[in-house]
Amino acid sequence: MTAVAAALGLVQARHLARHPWVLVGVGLAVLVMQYGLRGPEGNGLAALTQAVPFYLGPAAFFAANLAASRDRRAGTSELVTASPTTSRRRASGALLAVGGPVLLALGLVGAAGAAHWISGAGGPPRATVADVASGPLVVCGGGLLGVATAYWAPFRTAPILVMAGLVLWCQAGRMEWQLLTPYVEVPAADAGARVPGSMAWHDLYLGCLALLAATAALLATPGPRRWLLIAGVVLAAGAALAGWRQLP
Amino acid sequence: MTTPTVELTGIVKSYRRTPALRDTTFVAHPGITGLLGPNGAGKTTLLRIAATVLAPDQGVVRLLGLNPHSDEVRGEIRRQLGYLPQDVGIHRFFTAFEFVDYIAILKEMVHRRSRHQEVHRVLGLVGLDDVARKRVYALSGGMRRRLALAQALLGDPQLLVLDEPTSGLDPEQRLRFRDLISRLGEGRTVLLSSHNSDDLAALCGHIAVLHSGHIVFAGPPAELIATAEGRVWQSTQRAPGALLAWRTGDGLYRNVGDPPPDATFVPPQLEDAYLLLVRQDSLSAVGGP
Repeated sequence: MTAVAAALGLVQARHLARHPWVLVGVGLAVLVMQYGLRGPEGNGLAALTQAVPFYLGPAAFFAANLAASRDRRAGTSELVTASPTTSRRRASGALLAVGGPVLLALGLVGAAGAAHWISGAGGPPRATVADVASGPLVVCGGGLLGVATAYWAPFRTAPILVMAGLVLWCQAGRMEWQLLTPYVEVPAADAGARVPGSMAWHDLYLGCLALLAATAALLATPGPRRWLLIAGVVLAAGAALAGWRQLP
Repeated sequence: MTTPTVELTGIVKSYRRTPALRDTTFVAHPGITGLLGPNGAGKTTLLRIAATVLAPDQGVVRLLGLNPHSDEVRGEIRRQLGYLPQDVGIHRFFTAFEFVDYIAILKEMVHRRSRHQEVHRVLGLVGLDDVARKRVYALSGGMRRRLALAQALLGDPQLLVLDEPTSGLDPEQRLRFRDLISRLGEGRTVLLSSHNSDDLAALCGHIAVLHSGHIVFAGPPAELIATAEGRVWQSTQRAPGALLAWRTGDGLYRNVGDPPPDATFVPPQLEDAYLLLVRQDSLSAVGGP
């Protein structure tokens, strides 16, 4: 990572955190979380684990896609090409910018988690750190996938098609397949409901998928590929292992 | 003679089967060099090659004494280059400051405070400092063009490549641009294209006329104007033998072409010489007189 990519990431992270898609996602997540955490009849676990990935995850995906494709859409590509910053560094900046929505997600689950753990809001069962970590990880993965989509499929309908694919995957028939998706719905009315399997392995699985998306985005840019390909293979193996270990 | 900042030798560039530049050789020294030519002559292609965003199919490119054959050398050249493309898109929802700040980061200005000072400096140079916090969509076309120029000035580049910088500007803004560009031309190389021969005549110490993908003239504006000496005359009626004739404000016709024996000659201007040159080149290309 270079200083340019870091500076680019910092500035773009601020833009991304204020992006209308992200703000809408945050607003909806806050509404659902406070509803789930209110009173003993709420489902704190579901509120903490589902609101952020369900609302902020897709929002981060679309916002990061729009941000990463902004030069192309605005017609600034030629100008940007004449700068000393390579396409790979620009992609690195776009990937680092996903930190903006991730920080928002961490803030949300941190605040809601504190209310849940300290005051017992939302009632039992208590969510673990592994439970609440899955939300920010989905937001991170969504953002990074949005950037990868912008680089690999530079056309307007691509993010919609990718999101449609993700939705279909999450609705896949067999439970084993559903458990391998980034988002699994737990009945909100069922206060004791918990996604079966290991959340810690699920988090590792999500982390590997997110980094795979980042690697894919970098691979779409000109430059040395060897280490990226090696990283991709390692991450794919990690995702396969963690995906298998997370199953009940 | 100073060392050339831009040296393009034997450049050939085609888009699929359409040739844009045919064995073109072009040199620019410190100072302001203007590119004049009709639409489709290859001006933008030549400027894009000089800005390292396009590689030629054939020929040798040397910019600031370097050959942009690798990423490293291209990066080295781009650190000293300011580029204003013909059609530059600007992110509509950025403020003027945010847009220039974004380009400043891409120009490797990573220290926030000094970068922001530089952004304010270039916005001030183009007279946009007071609208720095306005969103781009709220700026007029002329302001956007000035904003696009502002980003090209970041870092005080040694080579400025400006593709039609005055297009879309009102007369006052054009004159302000002239003032700015003439100041910029002191101590660095400015390469600019324009359809407006007045701008080039006013600014450039050297002019190249590009027609059908090759340079048909290169030299000082006075030398180009001199080629039209004795071929511009006034008459009370449209002269039948004139290549072009138009009625001026004083009711007389200004004719450009081969004059009759009793013609009343007037001093030629750059556009007269340009018209004659381009017309002559077109005729010679089709085997005419």
